[in-house]
Parts: sequence; C-alpha cells; structure tokens
Amino acid sequence: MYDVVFIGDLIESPTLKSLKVDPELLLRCRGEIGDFHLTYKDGDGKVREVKTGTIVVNITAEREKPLPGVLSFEDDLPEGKEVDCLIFIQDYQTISPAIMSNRGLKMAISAAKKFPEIQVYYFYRSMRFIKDNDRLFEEARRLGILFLKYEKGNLVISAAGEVSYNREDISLRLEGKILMAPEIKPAEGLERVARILNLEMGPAGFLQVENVYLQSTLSGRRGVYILGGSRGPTAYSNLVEEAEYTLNEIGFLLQDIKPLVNDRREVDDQKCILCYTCYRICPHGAIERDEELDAMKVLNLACQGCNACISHCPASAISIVEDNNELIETGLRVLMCENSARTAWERMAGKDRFSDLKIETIPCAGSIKKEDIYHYLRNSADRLLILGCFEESCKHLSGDRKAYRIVNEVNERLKVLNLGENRVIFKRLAPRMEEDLAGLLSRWKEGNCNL
Amino acid sequence: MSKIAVIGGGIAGSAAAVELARAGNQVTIIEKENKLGGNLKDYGCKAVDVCTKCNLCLVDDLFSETTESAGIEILYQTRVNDFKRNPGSYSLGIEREGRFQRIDGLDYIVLATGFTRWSDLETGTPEVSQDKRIIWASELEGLMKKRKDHLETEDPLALGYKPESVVFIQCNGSRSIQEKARYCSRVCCGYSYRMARVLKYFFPEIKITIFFMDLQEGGYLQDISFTNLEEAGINYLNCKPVRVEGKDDGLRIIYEDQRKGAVEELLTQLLVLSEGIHPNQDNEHWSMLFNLQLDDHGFLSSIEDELKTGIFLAGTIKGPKDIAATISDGRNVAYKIINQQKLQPAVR
Repeated sequence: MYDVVFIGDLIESPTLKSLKVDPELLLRCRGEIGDFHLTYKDGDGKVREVKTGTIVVNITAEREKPLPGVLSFEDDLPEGKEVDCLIFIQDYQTISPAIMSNRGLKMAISAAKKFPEIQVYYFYRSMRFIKDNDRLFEEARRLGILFLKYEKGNLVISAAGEVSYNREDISLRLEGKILMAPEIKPAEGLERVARILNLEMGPAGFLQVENVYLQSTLSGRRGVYILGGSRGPTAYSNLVEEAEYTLNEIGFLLQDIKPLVNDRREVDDQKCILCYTCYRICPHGAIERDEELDAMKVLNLACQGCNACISHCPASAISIVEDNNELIETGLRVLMCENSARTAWERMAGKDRFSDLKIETIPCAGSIKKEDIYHYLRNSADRLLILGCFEESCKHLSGDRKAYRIVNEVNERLKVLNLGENRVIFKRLAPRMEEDLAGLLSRWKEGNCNL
Repeated sequence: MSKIAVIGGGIAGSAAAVELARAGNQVTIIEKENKLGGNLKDYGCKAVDVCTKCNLCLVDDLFSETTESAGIEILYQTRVNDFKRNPGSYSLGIEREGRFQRIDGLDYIVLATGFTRWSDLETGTPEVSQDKRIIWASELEGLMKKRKDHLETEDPLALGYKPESVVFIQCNGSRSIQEKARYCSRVCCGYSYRMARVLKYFFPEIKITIFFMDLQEGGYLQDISFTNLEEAGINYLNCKPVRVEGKDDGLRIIYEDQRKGAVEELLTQLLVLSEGIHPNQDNEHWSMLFNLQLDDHGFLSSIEDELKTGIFLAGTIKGPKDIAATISDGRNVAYKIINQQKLQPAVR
C-alpha cells in the first residue's frame, strides 16, 4: 500500500511512501481515496496492480519553440564567440507565463556575465513577476542588458533570422543568436491519463478545470491531484509551494479519511442496467462498476453528494440512504402498508395510546428491502413491526409473501449474530381490522412477540 | 492535541485555524479588529455572465467555518505584546480591553498578520483625498455594490454624475523606489481586470482604459492576455502615465504612447488607482519578538526550521499572494503541524 503514486515525475517526501508510474504504462484505475487500485505495465512488460491512498499527476508539459531554428529559454547558452549579439524574445505569440520571465531573466543574466563584450537584447511585451523576478530584472538592467518592450507589429523576425524592431523613436536591425520563450503545451498522452483516471479536461488540453473550488492542485476526483505541467502553463508560477502543499495535504488526509457527506448513495443492483450514465455524469469520479454484483456502485469516500447520478439514472436505481442518527425515544417503529393496515389505523379509535410509536406508511410491505430493515435497526429502532396484507389480497400480488420471507431471513441472521430475537415482526391485516390492530399494537408495545 | 495560538484572523490565519481545530487542536485566534477578515473588507463577487475566479466564495465558507468551529476561540480587539519561552511551552502576553493577560502552555504559534494596503499608509497618494474623481480600487468596489439600486438611474455608480470613461492605473504602491516597494504586488492586475470586466458588463457604454507596466497572471485560474482585454472591450496602454491634471470637464491623463513615441492625453471622469500590497508596520515588532528575518522590502521569513521552533508564518506576512494562494498557505501550515503531531508530540 502506497501513500501516493506519481503519474509522471516523482517528488521526494520523507514521510510518504511513494511510487512513480510512467504515464504511458498506466492501464487502469479503480477505487477511491484511501484505496485506489492502479494497474500498470512495469519495465519488463509485466502487468502489476498496486494500491495507493492518493494519486498525483505530475507530467511535464511539452515545450514548443515559436519559430524553427531558434534556441529556447531552456536550452544551454550558445558559445558567444561567433555572434554579434544575443537576442532574447519573450511573449512572441501570446504573453508567456511567468515562469518564462524567470527562465529568460536568469539566462540573460548568465549570458551577460559570461560574454561581457556581447550586447544582450531582451524583447518583451509583459515582464511577469514571480519568485525573485523583481530582483533579477533589476540585476539584468544593471548588467547593461537592453530591455525593449514591443507590441504586435513592432518586432519582425525575417526568415533569415534578422530581427528588426521599429518604433517611432527607435529603429533597430539585429543579427545574432535568437533565444525565445517556448510555448507550453500539454504533454502527449495527458488526455489518455485523464481518461483512465476519469478526470475532466480543462481548457487547451491541460487538466486544470476552470473552477474556483479546484484550487490549488485538486482535480474533480477526491484524492487525485494535478501538479505543474499537467495543470497548465500558469501552474509553473508556484510549483515549489504547490508541490509542498499537496504532499502535506496528502499526509494530513491519509491520517483519517472521512466521507464528505453524511448520507450515502446506493445503487440497487437489481435495477441497474449498466448503462454507465452515472459513471459519465458524476463530476467527482465517484462511480465505478462493481464486478461481483455486476452493477454500478457509488464510492462513498469520493462522493460529494450532488445527486446528479440520482436524477440522471434512467432506471431510477440510485437513491439516498440517510444515516439518520436521530434516535426515536421509544425505539419502536411500525411500517404500515397503505392498502391495509394504514386504513385500519385511520379507522382506529384512541390513537393517543400509541403516540410513542413511530408510525410510517409504505406503499407495499413487499417494497421493504433487507438493507432498509438493517438500516432501521441500526439507526433508530430497537424493534420493527411491518404490517401488510393477507395472502392473495395484496394489491401488488406478492408483497406479503416477499415481506414474510425477508423478515424471516433477517431474524435468522440477527439470531446468528446474537443481536436479539424477533426484533422484526411481519403481521397480516385487513383494512377493517382496526380492533385487531389496536390489540396487536398494545401487545407488541409491551414486548409480546406472540401477536 | 496541542494548544495553538494563531495571531491574525484574516484569510491565512482562519484557514490554518479551521484545519488545526478540525484535527482536534485547541486553537485561539488573536485578532486586533472586532471582526475576522483582515484586508478583505466588503469585497463583492466579480462575476459577469461567467465567474471571473476572484475566489471570494472560498473565503465566505472559510470565515463561517472559523466562527462556528467548536475548537476555535476568537479573541477580538486583542494585541500581542510579549512572548516568552517557558520550559516545554510558549507563553504570549496579550492586551485586551486595556488589561494585560497571558496565554500559557502554547505548543505552536502561527503568525498570520497579513499586509497593509498602500492606500492605508500615510504616505499614500495625496491627490486621492483632494479630488473626488480619483479613487482607490476598493472604493470602486463600494460604489459597484450599490449598482443594483442605481442601474436605472442617471447615476449608476452613485458618484453624483455618470462617467463617460473610467481609467485604471496599475502599479500604485508597487514597483517604485519612491513608494518604498520595488516589488510587484502581483494581485492588482487581476483585481483591476476583473473590476473592469464587471464595469463593462453592467455599463457597456462606459469607455474603459487600463494603464499598466506589465500585465501579470491573474491568479491560478485566470491568465490575462491582450486578447482577453480586447475581447472584453477594454482598452489598454502599456505604460504608467506621466501626470494627472484635474480640470473642470474631467481628469487629463498625460502619458507617453510608446507606439507613437509621442506624449498623448486622455480625458476621463473617474480614475481608479490600484492598491499595492505593503508589509505591515508591525513586522519589525514580530521579527524582534519571535526572532524572524525581515527582508529588504519589510516582509518576514523564518530563520530556523519552523517545525523545530514551532513558530510558523502564514500568508501575506511573507510577501504578496492572492486569495487562493493565501488559503493554501494557511492550510499548509496547519497540515505541517498536524503531520508532525502524528510523528511526535511537540516539546518546546
């Protein structure tokens, strides 16, 4: 079990157990925060599966030179002997991200120091300030680097590599070595990784989705973080701080992973038609296929409770299970079928005798599932009484038989587990049996199981 | 569980306090004002037809969590004036309602006292108080808050007149030796850009121009480009004006147009000045009290490993940061403390 798996470059951490997986070798991701299962090919081509608490996508972005034949701000400095001047150009196509101001300034300063006899020009449209760029900018100017601001049309680079700069008051034609800020483009394969991890893509093919809540390195999926070049060009501005923050947050989160919402969403495996609508619709990657049940399932630690899956499910198979921790004082709950017992209840006199019972109406005794019963017993009721119809007078044909079977199974299970006997009782009743109802309710209230 | 004092109830302090309390620590926020929020004042949402990622919604959640958290005690109108290292713990001397008290048995101290606006400093631009048509960016915020009531009137911005044009000037109190801030405050470009977009959205007929020296990134999620500005219908001039003259028909902004290489002028009825981020004047006090490094600009940094000293710096006390970065920084401090607690109990 790893604390964090890095897809792309690994960042060392003294406290987190981490693993690096090559993005190209990643095959599959299942599970949720605290328990992701990643499948990948290792170096020998063998398919492996690892478990990890969190995932960090940290894939370096591609760099693209704006023009062929020029050097980039990230290349090595040229040998100075054969050139007349060095020409740095930033913001050529669009304003370069702040990290390029940083790289360009540093490179221009080392060039000016290395070749004091060569004039260094620096063309830019907007100097951007991160880290110590303020100081570097000052230092560069002191070293005699000529900074010239340009606007579209001011600066022309000919096919032969001649740079001309024209302003009303200045006109320059320069021949020298050109160094340009590269454009930052998403890494090849980033989209594939996003698909495997079930992450939404942001603008321009990067992973940063334009949403205020997804800051600073959060993806839409809990426990999956996006860092640096995977996020986008501006993500390089605070890369060091963000990496530190992300790892600290992971260390903190893994100490105790709590669900984000109090009530759970559950897929009824009998209804699910495996259409994957919920999988596609879930903004938080909180749904996957349960292989055993052959139905979709909601990952409860990943779920953020938006209910999009519920409203979009064409089979109405997803519902909220409320973890209602409110205890009912008596702990006695009665579920009445609306076709029989409920009518009897309406006709019954002296209802105040049973004001301590929590009475609920259900459409049919057969609509009660085992999970519902366990849920009632766990959260609110000591004992449960289910009142349905007589055999062959069930409006829904077999509700009473279903309820009878289920209640027996639950009681057997509870007995095996030593959780008490006859805690759930199913009883048949007709709409006109209001007196019988009064009698059985008072007996049941007293703890008598022989109704 | 540790006893932790957070000095300053702004964004960074609250972000740290919420996480620390959530992990079961006993947190005391010491706030000099009578409410949380620090420099945020009464900022409003900057959405147009889309969100412009001003990050304000993140902050509202944060402050309500802070006041509702059972593990956080907030001492308002309280100042810290003494710090002592007792065996095994720290002690702070505080002044509250004229009385001196001590908070003893502290395991950690988080210092998050933020920054001062250039406009709040006495050295601020005097023209602003002399001419009503020159305002600080945050004052425009106040005017725009009223926009809903005034949209249909002749006086939509509650200025007493309707401006035909609004001019923003960036880099006030930043990148200037005279203004004692040689650095870029980094947040004002994004702030003015958002403000200009809101203004343009509600009053498309108002002509808007932004003067800036260099256009900065607008935060984690909003890169600003010339194309963005053009699309939003905002004019821009890549320079800082030379002079502003107040005339009866408006303010004359005199600037050097680099495109033409000539001195030009622009007439406007409202001039909005950006407010740079400046170090707090009490940073020197903190540096002596807690043995911290005061940098050339007046911001603070730790000399020793914070995990060893137990004294952490969070947020803009260390230098300019935007809202999202400040929240992250505050939380990061909390996570560092909590992760250390897991490894070993703090012994001072």
